[in-house]
Amino acid sequence: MTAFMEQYRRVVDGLNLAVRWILAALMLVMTVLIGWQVIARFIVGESLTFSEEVSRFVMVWLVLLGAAYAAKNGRLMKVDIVEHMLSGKAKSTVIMVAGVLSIVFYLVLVVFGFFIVSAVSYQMTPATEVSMSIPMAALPVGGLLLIINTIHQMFGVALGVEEESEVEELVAETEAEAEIDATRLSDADDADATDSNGSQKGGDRS
Amino acid sequence: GAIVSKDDDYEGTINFSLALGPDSHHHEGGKAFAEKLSELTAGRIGVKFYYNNALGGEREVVEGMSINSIQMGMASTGPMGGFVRSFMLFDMPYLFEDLDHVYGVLDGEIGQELADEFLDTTNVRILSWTENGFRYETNSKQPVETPEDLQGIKHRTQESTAQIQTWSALGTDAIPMAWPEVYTALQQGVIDSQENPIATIADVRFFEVQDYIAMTQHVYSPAPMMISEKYFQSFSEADQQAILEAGEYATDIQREASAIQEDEALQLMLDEGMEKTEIDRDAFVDATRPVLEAWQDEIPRDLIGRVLEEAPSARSEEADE
Amino acid sequence: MMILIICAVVLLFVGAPIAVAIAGSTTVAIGTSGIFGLEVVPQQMFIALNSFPLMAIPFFILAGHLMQVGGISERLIDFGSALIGHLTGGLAMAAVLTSMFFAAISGSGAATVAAIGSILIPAMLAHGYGRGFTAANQAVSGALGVIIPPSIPLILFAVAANESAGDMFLAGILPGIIVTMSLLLMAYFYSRKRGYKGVQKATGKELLIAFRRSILALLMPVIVLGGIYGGIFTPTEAAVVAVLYALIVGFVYKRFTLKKLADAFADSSVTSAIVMIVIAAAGLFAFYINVLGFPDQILAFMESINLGVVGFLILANLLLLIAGMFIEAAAAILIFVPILLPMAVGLGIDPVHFGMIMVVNLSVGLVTPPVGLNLFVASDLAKMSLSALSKAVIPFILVLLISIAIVSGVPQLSLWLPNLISGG
Ligand code: NA
Ligand code: NA
Repeated sequence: MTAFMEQYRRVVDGLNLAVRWILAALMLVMTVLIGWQVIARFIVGESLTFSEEVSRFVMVWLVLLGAAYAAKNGRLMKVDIVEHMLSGKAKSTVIMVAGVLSIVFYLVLVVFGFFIVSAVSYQMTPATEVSMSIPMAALPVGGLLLIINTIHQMFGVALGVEEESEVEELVAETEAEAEIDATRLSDADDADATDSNGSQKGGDRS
Repeated sequence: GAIVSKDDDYEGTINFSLALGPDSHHHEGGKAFAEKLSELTAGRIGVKFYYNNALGGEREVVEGMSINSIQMGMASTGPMGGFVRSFMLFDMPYLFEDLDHVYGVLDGEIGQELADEFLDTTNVRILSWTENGFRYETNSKQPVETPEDLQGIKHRTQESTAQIQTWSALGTDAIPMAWPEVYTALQQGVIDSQENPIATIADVRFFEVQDYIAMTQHVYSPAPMMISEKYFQSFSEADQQAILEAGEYATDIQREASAIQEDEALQLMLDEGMEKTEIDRDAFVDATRPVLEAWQDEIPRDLIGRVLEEAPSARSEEADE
Repeated sequence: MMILIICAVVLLFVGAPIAVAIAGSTTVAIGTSGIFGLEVVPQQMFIALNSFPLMAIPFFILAGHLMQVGGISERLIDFGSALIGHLTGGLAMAAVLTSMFFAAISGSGAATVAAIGSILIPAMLAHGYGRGFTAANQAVSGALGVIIPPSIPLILFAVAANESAGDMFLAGILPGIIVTMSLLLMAYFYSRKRGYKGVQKATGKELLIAFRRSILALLMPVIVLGGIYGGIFTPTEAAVVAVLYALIVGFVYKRFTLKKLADAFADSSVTSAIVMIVIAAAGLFAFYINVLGFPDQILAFMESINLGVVGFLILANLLLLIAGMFIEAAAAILIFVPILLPMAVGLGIDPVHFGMIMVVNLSVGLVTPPVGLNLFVASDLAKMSLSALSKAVIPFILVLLISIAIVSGVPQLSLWLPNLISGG
């Protein structure tokens, strides 16, 4: 079972690497389309007829895929007091219960998302005149990826793998940036190293 | 959930989504429907109204009725072309000469044909050809009498190829823009001009940011009263008949309310300081004719040609010959 | 309704994502009521996201991210320190002031804490400031990120309440300045009591250099807000202009690599998605309670108990403060707008003013335990425990509460600028 869970997590990690690139590309497409729309209106005096519709649909895909990506590390917004109060077996049990309940909801998204995608397939979008199924398919596809990544996260808990939280990631990133920055306050940095009050949470990174 | 068939003595309430607010002409039509239905069913079936798109925008409401998440609604034909191609007809500029022409078409064979096609494709039944009415251009730049007056004006359209073609043909910079952005964009001068039914223009207070209204009547916009077919079929035979009859009854009352409110709204806008101009209609018709011609084959069953044939002027020409 | 609340509480309690708690409990309610089929679940979630004005959120997140990667936080900090660093409590006040500058670029609170705090928290500690004060001061200053435009909660309110995002942005300026002033005063008096001295006074030339180095960053809010009110672009387009501007600034400062850019685009997507999946869920929830006619019922209830404007505002403030303790600001806006706004409007409160009240209240939630993103970030940066920081932040929260009372009680603070500039 352990081997299977590890193998599953490796495969899904690879899948998510691809999703990460897709997410960057979707954001780029939105930026280019709407940026172009603004520039076109003022410089060329022409408007794009499809940019708004396409970028809206791109945004829907971005949200569903991005949420699924975030679910892999348990980064979706949640109320985690109980999780913080518990530890050990009780904590992992609660995380598992949350995971299973979430998956039940994601299944609704997949199944009924598939129904609605077929129900609207004859509908054409106003500007680009493509089938309405194309933007709506983000729901069932995102739901499926949410399930895959929630299982990934649950396997991680079962295997005792610690994931980096959003806060830790944000802090690590900005601390790395801050180190590059040569500011006139930089003389302060040395002194900090000698200061050892407080917990060492996240302190071993930089 | 599965819809259970209702008994002959079913008592309940129909949810009815409106794009406009209480006391709008949509609501007047809805109330007429509700009163007649109540009368026909001895008060067993009532109607609850949801105003101002509370249950979703027009496209969403039509889609909702097709999957039976919304029971009844009134929505303009704007988004319906996406569901059934024939409804692009109502995006065509200067298709209708006047209201007699409009009502002749909608209450006749073509109206029935469109309703049948819509029912078959979307599972949504059109109960009545109620309306938004003719649409008019407003702007903040200058009075408009001929298409020349529109040259270079930044005009907002919906995201519709036909509308963009129309307003390009009239000489404007046609800019498709999402509805929620329009008021601010007009106010800030991102765009100069927009077009809508008069009651809508007054309802969203465009007179605060627009100075001129031209009596363009470039497009006639129906706002049919519709019901989810799945929901409709769940009623007893007799109640179905009552619903159909109530829908028919509401048609004239809504159209009258629409005419009255158009007059009132126009007066309000003039009182608020807007300047009204009559247009050289022939010049507008000539300028937009290429758009109609381009769509002639795009819209099924020669609907454009058949509607034009029913125009009062075409008929009188026939009579002259 | 009861089954919905029970399911939501259970889901929140076990730590399911907030989006799942909202949408999942609504799904159960729909499923058991049998009013309509569950196709409505994905359909309404799609509809909620398929909205052009929402696009401002990913764009402002991306712009803030790019500005940060582009190396502007330390330039702003240099400028802030050169301006007031020499006064008593100088670095603490510089943290507040710089956070205000950064807030005018970033739409999020946690990003503001991280960007400014990663440099100023170590600096303040090195200059002998107490650890708790340092971290709390920075965490609270980060709350400015959501009050001063651009702000994600302000955009969300505009979308949920059908108000203009431009008006909401204008409304945020004066309350943002009020909160900034009160935090500056707090930092000054606390530092005077503790004897925290300023850093060496910058010479006129140094100040000028610091200003020149940060001018591109300081110009961004001018371009964004000026562009909106100069009629050059809509608020949504302003967000993409901010992105383009941030890209240009980053290239001018020569801080971008292809890897950094790709990461910024991907990370901003994920951050946006985390906020916006809640929007999707809240859309489904709002549809369902609308079909039930819930807002009408609340309105009738409110009329029956005849609470009055002041009573309502006090209750609403309390409710939002408590909600903010547990729920992130973005989610709370989406849940409470359909419930509270009809009441507020019914009582004659201007929706733009009420939006500001909501956002200022919920910004406090960023620094209240148990769920306070700014606290998490600041405690991580200052390397102190969350419980210690939670105590240190209490006096600051009192200061924020005073600001809330002012914003609630003086509608003109929120309404004067929107009325003046957009006449609406
Ligand atoms: Na901000
Ligand atoms: Na909190």
